[in-house]
Amino acid sequence: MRKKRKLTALLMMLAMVVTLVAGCSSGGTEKKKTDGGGLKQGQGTEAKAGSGRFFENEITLPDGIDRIKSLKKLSDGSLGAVGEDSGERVYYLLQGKDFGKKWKKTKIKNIGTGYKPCAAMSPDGTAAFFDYPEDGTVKAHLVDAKGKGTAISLALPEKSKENRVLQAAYDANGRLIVRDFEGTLLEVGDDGSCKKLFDTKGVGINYFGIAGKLLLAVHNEGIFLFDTEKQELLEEEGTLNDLIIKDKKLASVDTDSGQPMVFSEGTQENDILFANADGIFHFTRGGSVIEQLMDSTFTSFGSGDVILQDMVVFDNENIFIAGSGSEFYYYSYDEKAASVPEQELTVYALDESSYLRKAVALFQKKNPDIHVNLEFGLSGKDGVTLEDALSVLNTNILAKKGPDVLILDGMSVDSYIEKGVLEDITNIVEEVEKEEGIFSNIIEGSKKDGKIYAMPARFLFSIVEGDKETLKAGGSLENIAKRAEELKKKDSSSNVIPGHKGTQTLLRDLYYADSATWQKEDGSLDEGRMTKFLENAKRIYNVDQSDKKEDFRDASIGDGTSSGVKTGTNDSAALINKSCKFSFGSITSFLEFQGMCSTWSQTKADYCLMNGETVKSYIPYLSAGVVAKENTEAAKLFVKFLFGKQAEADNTNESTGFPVNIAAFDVFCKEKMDDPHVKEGLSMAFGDGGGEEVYGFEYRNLTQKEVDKLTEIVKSLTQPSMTNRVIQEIVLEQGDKYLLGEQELESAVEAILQKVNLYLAE
Amino acid sequence: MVKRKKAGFLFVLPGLLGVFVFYVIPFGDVVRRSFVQAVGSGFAGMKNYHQVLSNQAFCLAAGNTLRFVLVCLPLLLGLSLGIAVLLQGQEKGKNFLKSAYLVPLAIPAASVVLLWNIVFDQSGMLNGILSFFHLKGKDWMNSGAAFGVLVFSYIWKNLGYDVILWMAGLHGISESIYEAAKVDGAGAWKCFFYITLPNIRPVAFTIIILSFLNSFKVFREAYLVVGNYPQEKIYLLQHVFNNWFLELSVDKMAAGSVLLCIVLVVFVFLLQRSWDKEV
Amino acid sequence: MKKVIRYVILFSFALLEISPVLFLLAGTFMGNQEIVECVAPVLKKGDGYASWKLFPVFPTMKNIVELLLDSPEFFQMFWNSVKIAGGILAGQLIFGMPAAWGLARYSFTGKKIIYMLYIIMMMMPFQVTMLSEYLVLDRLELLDTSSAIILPGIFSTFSVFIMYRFFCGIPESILEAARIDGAGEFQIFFRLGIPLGAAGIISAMVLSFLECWSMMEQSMTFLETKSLWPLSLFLPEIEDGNAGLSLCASFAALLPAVIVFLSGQDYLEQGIASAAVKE
Repeated sequence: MRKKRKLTALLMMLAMVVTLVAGCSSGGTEKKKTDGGGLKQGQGTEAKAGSGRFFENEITLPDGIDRIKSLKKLSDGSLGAVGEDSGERVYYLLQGKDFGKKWKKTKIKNIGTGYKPCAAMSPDGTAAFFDYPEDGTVKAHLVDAKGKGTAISLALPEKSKENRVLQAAYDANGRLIVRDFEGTLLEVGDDGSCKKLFDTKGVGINYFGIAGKLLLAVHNEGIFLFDTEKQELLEEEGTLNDLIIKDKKLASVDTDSGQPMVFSEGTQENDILFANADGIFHFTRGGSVIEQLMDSTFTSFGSGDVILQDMVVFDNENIFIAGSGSEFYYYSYDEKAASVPEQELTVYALDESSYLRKAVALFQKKNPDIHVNLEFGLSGKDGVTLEDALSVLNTNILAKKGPDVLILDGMSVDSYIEKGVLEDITNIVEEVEKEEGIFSNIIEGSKKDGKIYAMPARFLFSIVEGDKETLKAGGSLENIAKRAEELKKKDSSSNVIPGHKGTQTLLRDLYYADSATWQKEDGSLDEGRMTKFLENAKRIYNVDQSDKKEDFRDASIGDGTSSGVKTGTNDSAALINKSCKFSFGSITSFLEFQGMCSTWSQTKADYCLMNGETVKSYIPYLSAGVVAKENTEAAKLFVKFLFGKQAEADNTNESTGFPVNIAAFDVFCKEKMDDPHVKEGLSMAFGDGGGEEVYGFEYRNLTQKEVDKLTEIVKSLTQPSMTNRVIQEIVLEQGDKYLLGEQELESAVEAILQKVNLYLAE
Repeated sequence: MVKRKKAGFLFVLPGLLGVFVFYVIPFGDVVRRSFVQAVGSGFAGMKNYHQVLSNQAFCLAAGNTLRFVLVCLPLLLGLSLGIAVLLQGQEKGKNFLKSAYLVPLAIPAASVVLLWNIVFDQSGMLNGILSFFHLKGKDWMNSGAAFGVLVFSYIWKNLGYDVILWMAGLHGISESIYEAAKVDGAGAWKCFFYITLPNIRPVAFTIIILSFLNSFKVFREAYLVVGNYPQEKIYLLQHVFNNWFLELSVDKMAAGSVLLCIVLVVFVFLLQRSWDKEV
Repeated sequence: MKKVIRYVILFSFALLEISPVLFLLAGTFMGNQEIVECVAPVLKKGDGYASWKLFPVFPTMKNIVELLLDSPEFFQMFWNSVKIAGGILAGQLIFGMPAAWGLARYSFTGKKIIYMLYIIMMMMPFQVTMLSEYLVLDRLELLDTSSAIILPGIFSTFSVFIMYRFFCGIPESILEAARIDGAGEFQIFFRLGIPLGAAGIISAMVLSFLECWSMMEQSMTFLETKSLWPLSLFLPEIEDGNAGLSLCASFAALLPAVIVFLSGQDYLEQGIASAAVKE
């Protein structure tokens, strides 16, 4: 009896251990599955084991065509597409041979003028176009293989007058399917009749994709599957639904220019292939595994906000994907290549940056045998704080699993240098300097004890824009405040500074312009400078705000970055519609600079460096450093590339800083003095917020004088502003309270000094 | 006897191995790190200790932590003992009261923080109540009062548990002693000082250790309400450790940890010694 | 008169202790609009001071329905917490219970040192060994799995400490009698130790559960994958449009802890007194 009890007890314990272990291990497998879903794919996974991998290839669109509206594999085995010349608003039927090396262009006639929001290519070489609604009816144009269009009126279900077609596609049998404004899927007959495809039971379809005879309709909770041939709704695939449930972004679509995911049939009966920002994936109906064919970090569209237009899987080894802009990608499979590039390189940055993503893609193209993992610590979507991100990063660095290249924006560069985390990159900088030239003032500004451990690849700076009198005052914050008060006294009917500047934006603008002067010799903050800074900030803030009852606090707190693109806070537009007397803030790109210069014919304004008499400071962006490790060759190669002309000039994303590379800077200067966009006529229009009046300006080329002045200013910048996020957050938080009157000047300064000096004392 | 010793050790062994793997070895590593440089493995000797002891932030935090413990522990122990004694004489609602006292311990820190934000904000409820009595409020979390808030938070959370522990101790004192004392003409206070206090002394050891342990946990609330750089007065040791870690100052962190450990060992040792002697 | 004072003191403390729970409870039934109106001053959207209502003016079940039907993330986190807490408690029974027994009932070489070691390890703030623990877990390839939280949790010395106190309270004479009857050491543990120390085991489990339920730092450091995060990292925010849902969720989060706590409450005090006598 006794023995039995003991046995039972032992058995019970054993059972508990087993459940425990099982619990743990099942947790493990679950995780792998989600990884397979491609939410975050770092190193190679089982799916890609073995040899062979997809490569991105160069592909050029035929002359004059800058956008692909629809793609299809034609029944004769060639690649069919609808192309658009967006400048002329002319559309073409395209037929590609040899995987896009040769194109046959057929201009489409008889479809009327005007922009066509969407189009669809049919497998038999014909196509369909759709107009915006006019007088309550929507016209479609069916185009035959020779490019001749016939107009029909669509009988869309009339739930609203503005109902229109947002998306269209042909299935494998040539049935034309469209999605209307209400999220209903309709099959369009040759006579314009519209038949509801199936009952969605009130669920709105966000977008759809076609995989042969299968239609995939994406809604907020999952994906409906519909067999277009048998006309029946199929059982949903849990694995695909999970994809949507886990990442709601995949279900969202707020434009008619594309979708977050595109689908295509594969070579096997039950294949579904799809592509999204994470890569290209393969799924077999009825299966539970999503196989990743290609990891987007290897490629050009490895960017968080990619919007895709269409996709064609030509055969198992050739895939075409069209983006919503001018992007057109061609991926081919190389079975000899190692499935994962031999070398791994991890680049880490705190903030999402689309510039960096594109730079990585360019680098990747040039160095296919190096796989770059790009990690963003603060991706924003899962509530990770700065502290969490840094703590994960540091543990990884200490465990020797850290990144190879660090983008140090927002981090405490000094403490990384002090701890010996960063390698001296002076010789890399010098190499690039010799070959292509780098602004020497930026090099000097990056030096620490005569060596360079990190240098920005781009930079921004703050300006004041306004009339001559204002520019005279622009050199110091105090004079700017004085000038603002004067102007208000003269005319108190309107704002002096742009109305969008709430406490946070205002403080940040001033912070960037002034912070380079705050630190004393011993590293602690200068109390006098801090007091002055806050006083001036309050004076400027009060000029417009003191008579308002409601305090205005910006919603966006952070770094002025949204979805990876920094936008300038200077507001030339506000000068055009006269909603302010002068403007100031950061200017972040040649495009913004060009836009500003273009407004001067109306505003008679000019610009100067903000706070330039106090300190000529710039805002470093993408400060890159190499993490000291055994093998840093690839990391050095990348950093060199980042500083190089190619990365800086070829990177089409213009709105993120000026290049430090002189050769790249010159490329932009030349381009902006003879800008093809200006030739085509690029203009900007905006309202005045509430009123009915519409304002605007035409972009013009920069003059030599303007370029010279810009270059001169850029060359004069000496001091990087403080980018340490911890300090910035403390200053903004306390400053905010002071500006809003919740705190006295003295206690604000005291609190800032106490916290920052505590931080520095650690 | 030898067999019994072996059995005793066998009971302890599996758990002990785990403790070694997950606590002692990591701690050993911390001790090692306190003598080497942060990154790389150059020997640093006592340099890290020098740095830590001359570090203003560390000294401030150590002082604050010590002050916090010195204020909180007696306050909590006294208050909870008082309530325990009162509660013992209570007949109606005894169980309800005990449960009510215990509830705060079960509230997750995140929810507490939510409430603290509402209560202790510049325009929070507490100031609202004060203004009702025409008293001037303050920004509780961003002035010297933050220390008081933290003390309050600690006591609020741990009061119930300590009350229960004290009551357990009180429970163990047999009624007959009190009866005898009453017969001898001793008053309530006398009874308390001469019977209650000496008799609950043994439980006090456990209670002090547990309360001390919990005093470290108040960091969670402090951290969640005001972040890494709070008001000077509530800048605690964990803040320093956390921030050092964010700056990769592992060398200082390790040295600081060892120092803290030494203090703890001395504290526990002295406490145990004094208890062993007295009883 | 004395009685009245006692009543007032005891009940006002009780009110202070449970008021936050009442807050959350009220918030659970409030609409977003109502909550935001109440706390508008804290959010800098209105003048005056924040206030609260114990009874919602427009009670609604919307939050609860939304939480139950439309918050997969909440449930994911909830089950993660259950899994972590369950794993840790089970492990503590297997490893911690014998260890406490061994330490409490046997004398062997090094026992005092081990006991001291356990207390020291128990008192160490997490931040101290965070990095080294991370490295150990990394070596064991446990990072970013639930085991990274569960395994160290199992060997937490806190529960051993609690059980130890209770096991100490079992009179030696009972065990001696069993030995004379010929019972082996393991039999004594299973047949006498566990039943007689049940109160201690249960109270250790209750306290451990609370600890696991509100554990934050560990998960934050060792789990990168958000889908593995426990409920304690669910930070309620009232600023966004989900004020009601947030409050409802934090109420739901504390419910299991309160239930476990209150149901195990009686055991918390049992036996600790007798344990103390022996010390």
